[in-house]
Amino acid sequence: MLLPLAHALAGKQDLPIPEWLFAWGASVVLIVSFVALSVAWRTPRFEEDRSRPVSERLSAALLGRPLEILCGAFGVFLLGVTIWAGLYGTEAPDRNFAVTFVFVTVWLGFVLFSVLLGDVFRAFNPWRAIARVASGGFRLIAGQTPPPALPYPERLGRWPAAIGLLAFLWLELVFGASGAQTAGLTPRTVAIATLIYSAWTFVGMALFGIEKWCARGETFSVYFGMFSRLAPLEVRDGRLRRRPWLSGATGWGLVPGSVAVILITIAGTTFDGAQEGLLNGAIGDVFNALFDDGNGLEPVFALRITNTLFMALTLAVVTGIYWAGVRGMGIRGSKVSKLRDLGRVFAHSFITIGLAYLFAHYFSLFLFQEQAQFTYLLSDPLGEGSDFFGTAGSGIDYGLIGAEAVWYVQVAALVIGHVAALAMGHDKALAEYKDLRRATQSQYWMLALMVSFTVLGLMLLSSANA
Amino acid sequence: MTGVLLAHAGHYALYVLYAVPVVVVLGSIVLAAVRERRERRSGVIRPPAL
Repeated sequence: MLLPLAHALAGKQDLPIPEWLFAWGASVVLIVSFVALSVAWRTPRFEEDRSRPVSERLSAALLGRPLEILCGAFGVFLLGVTIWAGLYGTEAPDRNFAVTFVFVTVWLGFVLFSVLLGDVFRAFNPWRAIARVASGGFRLIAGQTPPPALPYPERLGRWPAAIGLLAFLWLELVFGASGAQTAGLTPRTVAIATLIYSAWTFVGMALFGIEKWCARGETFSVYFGMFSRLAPLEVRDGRLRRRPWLSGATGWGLVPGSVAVILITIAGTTFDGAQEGLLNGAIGDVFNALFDDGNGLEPVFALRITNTLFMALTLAVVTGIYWAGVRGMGIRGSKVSKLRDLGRVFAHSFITIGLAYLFAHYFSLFLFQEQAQFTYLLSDPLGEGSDFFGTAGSGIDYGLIGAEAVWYVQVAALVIGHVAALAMGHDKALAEYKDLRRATQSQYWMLALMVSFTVLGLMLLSSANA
Repeated sequence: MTGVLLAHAGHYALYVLYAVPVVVVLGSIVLAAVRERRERRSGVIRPPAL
């Protein structure tokens, strides 16, 4: 993450055991969980629909037109403020509303809301709101319905969203990281990128229909929608329903491109952590070779090339680990005939890993930057001396949480996320494989994947915090 | 040059400790697979899994 204080916390000097020993402990927890699941969880629980509608009155109030209009208008307003602040505000990223709002409040905040409350982004999605108003306006003015949407090519699946996600992360982690500081990603860049993305989204919606594009091509809808599948609430056929946590995720990965979405999510966080510690030396070496003491490439360009290479390498490693695990599970005795399909069947188990990685890496940043968002950035969005709400003089309390507490939360997040992933994978295996022995055998590989990702996560956090 | 290499090696040596659980789990899977193959070849019929 680019903003100040990403992981720059004081050292954890008083931990009772070395950090690597936490990785051993976490692995033991996973192995014990694996055994417990094998013994106690012997029939699939997430396969059948166990959701229940909430009361009709509550559902109508939350999903009614007034709230829908209010949320949509608020989303459009915030999109406008972001573009306005980005184009006309200060160029200092930490004093401008746009950067923190996009990369912290929205990008991390909606993940949290999605996991807790379901697909709330859908209500606030500014592009969906604008497109629906435009479509309604067309009907009103032209007195006819807009031309029918083109049929969406289903083999594209969620690939447009996956590519958008990769572009967003590249903008954040590579383009923005010139000089290993915040300088690369100016508020102006954020505003221009937002405008370009808006245009791309409206074209997608115009071609394939608003709801279809939101379900497949609109990166933010697909990304937050993925996390909302873990939530205990969902909207179906216009009615709000309750369901057990995690149970809505099963089947999420069957749409093409879904595996890419979750692997890019995990790889993005992995790369962000790795470039702050584990890969720091190697990135420096490649950069020096390209820069060549001023005789080679221009420094910012050399750094972007270097970081692009290492980001691609990270994605390749994460993808390699995933498909090695899937290959280990094998299609023998399963309901699918291709390894690719088996990868899709189990992709939903990795949503909680993506969540755990995000939470572990960014929760301290979120805690600190949200103090800025709701104090001085709210009162002075342009960073030019206004004080709309009287909070422009407030600052961030960095003493809110200590380095040790951060570490324990990180470890807990990783362990819980991976145990949940193990449970989801186990449940799926029970449904997917024809006999219990093959299901259990396949999950040895899932265990190996979980241990690998937990250890990798802890190693990254430890090296980034060092 | 040797000094640089040693410094790099020292930097990454700690990470070997992190790799231990992964090696243990992967090693167990490989050992289990080898044992099962041997048993299958020798005609041993195992009871159903848990």
